[in-house]
Amino acid sequence: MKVTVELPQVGESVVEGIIARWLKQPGETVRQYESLAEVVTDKVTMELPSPVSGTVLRFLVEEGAKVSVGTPILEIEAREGEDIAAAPLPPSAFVGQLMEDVRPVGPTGGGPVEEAAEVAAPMERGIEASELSILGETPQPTKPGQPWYSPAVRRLAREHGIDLRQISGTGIGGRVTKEDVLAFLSRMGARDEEERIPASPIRRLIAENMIRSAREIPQAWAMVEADVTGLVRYRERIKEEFQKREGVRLTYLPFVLQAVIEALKEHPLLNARWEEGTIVVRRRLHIGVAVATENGLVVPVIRDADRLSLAGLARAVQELTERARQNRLTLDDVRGGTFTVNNTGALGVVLSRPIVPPDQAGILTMEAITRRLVVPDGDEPSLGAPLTLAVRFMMNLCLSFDHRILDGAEAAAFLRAVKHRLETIAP
Amino acid sequence: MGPEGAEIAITRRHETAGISVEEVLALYTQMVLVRILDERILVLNRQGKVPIGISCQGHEAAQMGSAWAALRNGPCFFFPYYRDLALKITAGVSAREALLSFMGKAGDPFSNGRQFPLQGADLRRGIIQLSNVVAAGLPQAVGYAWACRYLGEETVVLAYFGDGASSEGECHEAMNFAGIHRVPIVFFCENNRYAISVPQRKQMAIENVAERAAAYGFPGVVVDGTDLFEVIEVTRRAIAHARTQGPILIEAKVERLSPHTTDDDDRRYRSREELEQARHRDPVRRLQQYLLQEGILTPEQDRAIWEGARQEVEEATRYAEASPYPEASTLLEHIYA
Amino acid sequence: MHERAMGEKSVIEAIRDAMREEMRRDERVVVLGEDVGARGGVFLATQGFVEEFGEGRVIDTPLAEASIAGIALGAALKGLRPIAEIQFADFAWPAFNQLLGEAARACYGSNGQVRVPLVVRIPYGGGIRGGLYHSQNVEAYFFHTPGVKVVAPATPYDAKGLLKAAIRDDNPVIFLEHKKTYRLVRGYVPDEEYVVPIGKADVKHRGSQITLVSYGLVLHYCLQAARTVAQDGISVEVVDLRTLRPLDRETLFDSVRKTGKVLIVHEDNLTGGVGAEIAALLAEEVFEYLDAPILRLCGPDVPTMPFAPTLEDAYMPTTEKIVGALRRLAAY
Repeated sequence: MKVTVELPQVGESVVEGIIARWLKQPGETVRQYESLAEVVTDKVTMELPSPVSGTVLRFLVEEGAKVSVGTPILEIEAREGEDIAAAPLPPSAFVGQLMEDVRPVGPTGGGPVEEAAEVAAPMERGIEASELSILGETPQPTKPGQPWYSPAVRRLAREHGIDLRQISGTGIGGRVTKEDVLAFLSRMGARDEEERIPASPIRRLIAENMIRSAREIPQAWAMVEADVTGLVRYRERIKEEFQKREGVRLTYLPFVLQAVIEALKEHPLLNARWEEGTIVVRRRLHIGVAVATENGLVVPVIRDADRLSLAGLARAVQELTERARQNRLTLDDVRGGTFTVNNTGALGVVLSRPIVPPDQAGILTMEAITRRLVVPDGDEPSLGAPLTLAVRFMMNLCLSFDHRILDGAEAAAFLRAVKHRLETIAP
Repeated sequence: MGPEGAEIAITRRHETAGISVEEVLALYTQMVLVRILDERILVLNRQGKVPIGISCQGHEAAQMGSAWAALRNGPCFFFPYYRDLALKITAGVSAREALLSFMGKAGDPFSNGRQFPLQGADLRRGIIQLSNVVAAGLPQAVGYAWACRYLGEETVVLAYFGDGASSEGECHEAMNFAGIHRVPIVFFCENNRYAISVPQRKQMAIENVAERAAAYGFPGVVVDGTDLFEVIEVTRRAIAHARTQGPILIEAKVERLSPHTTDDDDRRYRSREELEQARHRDPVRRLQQYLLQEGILTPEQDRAIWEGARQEVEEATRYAEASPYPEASTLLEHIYA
Repeated sequence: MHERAMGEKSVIEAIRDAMREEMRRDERVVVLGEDVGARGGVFLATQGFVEEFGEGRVIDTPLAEASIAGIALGAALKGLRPIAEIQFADFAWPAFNQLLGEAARACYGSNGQVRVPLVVRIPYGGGIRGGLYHSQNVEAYFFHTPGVKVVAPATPYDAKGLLKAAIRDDNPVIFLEHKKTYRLVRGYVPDEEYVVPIGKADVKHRGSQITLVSYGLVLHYCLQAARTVAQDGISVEVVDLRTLRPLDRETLFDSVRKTGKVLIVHEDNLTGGVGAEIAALLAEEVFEYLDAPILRLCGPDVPTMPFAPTLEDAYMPTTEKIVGALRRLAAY
């Protein structure tokens, strides 16, 4: 029997995805749970498992198309005798669904209703929409034959300096539609001083996330300098033995993660999100770690990071980084982060102003460790006395935070807590 | 000696009503002020300075007596109707404020010039009258009184209305609910026997609005609304009743000495003889005669009171005329809380 | 048989929960209406309330809608936060004097001295064989009046959050509950405390070619229609108004700027309905972004949907009718 596969609801806020690549072609057989397609959502690229075993019949959307959750995307001829798990239309978290098998309220009230005939779902009544003239005729431009341009079309022409007579129309009666103009513009893109690069799916999704964050979160920023000389020496001393014993490289990131985790426990407001006048403090610590891939930035999440040891954190970081770069992250890998850490220092940067991810309270960057001349703490410069100078390894820690949830004082306290922990690591 | 040579007994009626000489003089002074103010409002309307004048002449004793008694017998709250100028003055509205309101000027305490005169709310004086829609305030008064008791207060609400309002369905609904739930409310009907031009016999099949109270399970009492002392005594008892036992309906028989409003010409439906007869029951004259007869006032003192009232109304008129209208920029304020 | 998922509630359960939680939270919240006490409401909206909160707080009123509204208004003037139930929208007409004549104007008419923290819950709408007097849509009359807020949720999540917001609002809020959704629509409702703000629409299905605006029961038919036409590559953005007054202009404008085509669907009569105002508003504010005439698919100008199923079905907007309209609009 024919089974239609729809794009399932795959995450709290995910409402659409892009069919980046078909992994099966029409005519190919597929086993249940085998991947049918690569789908890019606003967090990650994921693979869509087949609900049934059988043969792929045909695609219902094009590769590269952006579709909403629930959209049918392909058909499979399911093998008889197998468990047919036809993908039901799952209820969106907050949309609710129409029930077909529940007694509706009676005309004069609720409560159990007699065995009256169910009113058939309206879809089954065969009444032609056109019989009713609710809408009247199909809308037509009022002057067929003469070029007629809608307000949207005229605006686009004006904004881009286009002569509309150059464009042929695909709308009713040969009307030039908005889509026609946009298509014309993108074809025209490769001229003059501009090169038009269509944004990749992941770039578009990053853009949407960034816009959402910029629009919704009032962000403030603070920074501290940490003297990590002790940490540098400590890591130097143990790193080879660590790698041999644990099978994984020891970078500075796990140390910073540990410090952040401890600081979050003391400053739970940084592990929260803002929700319409309520600060929702998350009890568990799921730390997102930003990973740069060739396609763009992804942020896999170490769940319950507070339960991991240093070695555990190092392993988690390495494993997630590998999978991210190989495009093998699942949607669960990127969901549910409560705080984010970005190792911008790996890029050689000493100061960053990161963007707080939507639904989080803060994001911390660890900057490049540089050797600097500093006046060590404890030396009071007094007139006439020579200053003591020392070369220390310094790492800046930058924090962007959601100013609705907390103020500079709390942010600073958190940063100081992270700094303190890093500064007290010694060989 | 009285007007026809007959001997008039000294009754000390105010004492039996439990009112001191000072109090009755204060009431009279205020009643005179109300009368002068009322007359002035009608004149200002004819001068084009007040768009609509709504006279309370003939109702003064009923309104003032009941309000005066209420204010001295525990916490109370008023839901008046559009004719209750005298009540509102008794509750503390000044002549100046009244004229600001009638002229629609800024500083009108009820609505800052948004509404017909003296309607909206004056919470400082314990008054709510949201509109001039007849009887609409009655269910609201019942709900308010019910809520007072829900909150544990001792407040008694006084809800005022005319004979015409008693025909409205909402009057019936309000009284019905009040009776069922024994709400602490005094329904006060100022029956002047006319709803604009419709006389009582076309408004209802019964003699007394008060008879209806029995249908709702609470007492109804008829009172001579032009007798200040009777109104005070009855109101006092009614409030005590409402506070502990539930609703009560007072029907005050009054006279409407003026037309319905300045847009009405009552000569179309009331004969001159009838209007003359009504003047015999003018409560201001009645109280004046009482005070003079009892020797509480001398004619000179009385003239001084009237003169004082005229001066106060004169000053208030000048004040209100000189006051500005509300700024156009306030038009869009307070649509929502 | 549908199995209940965790946290899943019907619309009526969500409404009941909202009221119960608010009554527990604030002693000033009281409920009045016909049959709200021992019967628990004819739709069981207040089931269990009189047992928990007592007859002093859950009042079975006489059969008198004008005074249900007027007495609730009076109590609100005193500072209580009453929830008045009008049993059916079809019976609301006698209450219009108190609701629109008085309550809507109280704050304005007193220059801001009084406020009216009143909620009036009104089951409305058809598709349940209710005939002319158990199916009426009355939203347009309230929608037209400055001074009231008008809310019409379609989902359990929205119903609960908006009813809480309404109870906490210091203005008179007309809370319209489509009675067919009471049991027919289920959805996830979190246990944690939350409020949905009045005056914010919700994009329930994102798209790029057509903005489909709706509310109430037919919103769900709109969602079905949007999913159906997606198969043909027509990308529809479904906007659930949730609040009718005040309209969420920004969400509507944002969507139309993106799509350029608009279809408004509501069960209420076409002429002078909420859709008419939205069409005028969009034509005025985002004219430059329109690529097609603004279309409305509404109940015809018939005095409410009749009793016989053929007549009722002819009246009601359906998924199929909406799909047809979307296809024609997409092709324009």
